[in-house]
Amino acid sequence: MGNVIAKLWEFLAEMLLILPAVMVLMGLFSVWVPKETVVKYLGKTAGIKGIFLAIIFGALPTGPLYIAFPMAGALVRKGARVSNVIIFLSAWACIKIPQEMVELQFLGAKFMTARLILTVIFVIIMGLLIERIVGCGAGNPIKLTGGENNANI
Amino acid sequence: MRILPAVITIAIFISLLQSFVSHAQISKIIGEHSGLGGILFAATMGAILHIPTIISFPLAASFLKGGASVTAVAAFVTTLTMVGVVTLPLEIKELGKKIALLRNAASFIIAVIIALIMGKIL
Repeated sequence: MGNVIAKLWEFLAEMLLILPAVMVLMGLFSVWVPKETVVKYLGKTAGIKGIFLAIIFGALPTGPLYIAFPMAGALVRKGARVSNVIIFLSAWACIKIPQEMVELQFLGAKFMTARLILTVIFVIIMGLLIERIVGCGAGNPIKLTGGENNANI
Repeated sequence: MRILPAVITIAIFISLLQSFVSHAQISKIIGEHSGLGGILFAATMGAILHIPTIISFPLAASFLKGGASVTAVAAFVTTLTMVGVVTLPLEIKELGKKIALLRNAASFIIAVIIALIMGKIL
């Protein structure tokens, strides 16, 4: 039992050192990057620039992935490419600077860098593939029914 | 500070895991020789569990230390962030069944591919 408590203390001390820095970064991002900006720019852009913006705008805000679903829905309804919305969601899920910092701390630079690079590559491929399957390109926006969030975004 | 209870829960879980689950047990289930089954098990756990990513990294690190393979840990971390079984109903409501199901299925597959590549290069 002493072993458990020693390990618990060791781990808590480590987290208490990292968490405040993570919280400060999260706070700054949510202040500097308003959600309206994200919706505005991503919805109008296409091509390589759109992919790039999708990654940046997905990566900057903080919060759990389910916060991003209504925004992604709004983007699709406003005519954003399905591929960009998928890339946006994936970037939101796994490309976050505070998150990468914690990954770096616990799993090491090699692990973090390899996973980040592979994720970016495969997420773009996945986005384009899903767009192909769904059959809605830039000029043929998908029709979504049951969207209740047009008004409040 | 909403994250604090989750941090403490995970801290307790990791301490218990490291004290009571042996290296041999972890490496048998998700170690180098657990094969594709181990990778798929790790990926499935990542898809089902709903824990904040930031506190999942120390958990992943303790799996690695405990004898899990890089491939299994990479699969776990990647599906944990990208695939959400718990949040799927919400995703379907916002994006429609087709996109939501495709995104989760494709994310699961690319997570396994990313993990396999990482196991090869690291």
